[in-house]
Amino acid sequence: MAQAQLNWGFMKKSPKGSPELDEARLRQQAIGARLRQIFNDVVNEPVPDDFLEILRRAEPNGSVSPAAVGNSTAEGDEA
Amino acid sequence: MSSAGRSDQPADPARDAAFKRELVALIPHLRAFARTLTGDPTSADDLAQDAMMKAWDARASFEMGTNMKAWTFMILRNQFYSEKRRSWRQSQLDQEAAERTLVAIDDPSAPVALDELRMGLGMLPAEQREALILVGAGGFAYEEAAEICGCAVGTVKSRVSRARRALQAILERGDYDRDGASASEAMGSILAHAERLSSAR
Repeated sequence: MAQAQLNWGFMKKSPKGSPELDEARLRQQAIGARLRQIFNDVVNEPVPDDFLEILRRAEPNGSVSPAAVGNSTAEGDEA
Repeated sequence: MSSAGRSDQPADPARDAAFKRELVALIPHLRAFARTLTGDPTSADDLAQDAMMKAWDARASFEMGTNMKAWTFMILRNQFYSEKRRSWRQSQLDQEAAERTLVAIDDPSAPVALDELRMGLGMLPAEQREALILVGAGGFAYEEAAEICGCAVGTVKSRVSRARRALQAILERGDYDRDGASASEAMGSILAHAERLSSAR
């Protein structure tokens, strides 16, 4: 966070607590709150049925549709 | 390549059931990550479904009790880039173009409109967008985001910082609160400018 603030070029060399810094912080807080809202709005949507349907179809023999076969990105092998 | 989920893995129905429960609980988060990455609900759900099934396929290689959210987000992210590999770099907005559009800060308490922020997100370079989403909305620590993105922690920090700065610049430049037409006009000019800059390279 401290580093992020140092990187804000538009704040120039404003000392901590200066109006410029406060304004920038307010703006970023507003953007951050909206960003979380955008994300959480989707989280709170009901999950479409086809998600669970696809998962259910995959279950019987434990293997999955050809579309899902490919390079695995799993890295859970350590430990 | 992993042989996860194949017949050479011993079947473990109880483990599979536990895995599935946890995976199902993560679907809303996968959808949100996909939506914010792509900006398009339909392709986002396709992406989230692909990621979900890849995770299911690879379940044998997941160590139960570790962070499944981070693991599935990494899968989704890799899926996103493998699909977009050819095109996503071309669509990146030139970072400096966005930063050059900085104008004076007038009213810091002005509300940020959701649609404009969505558009602004879409204008960010993909690597900055994902870093900002993971840290700023997904609830991940910098270290977790670094693992998901396969880069150094310092890189994530710098991407988040640049994303915040660029987003602020885009929103201020767009003058969005007042008038939708001028907003899209501003967006167009930013994009055109960025295109000129990147094609000049």
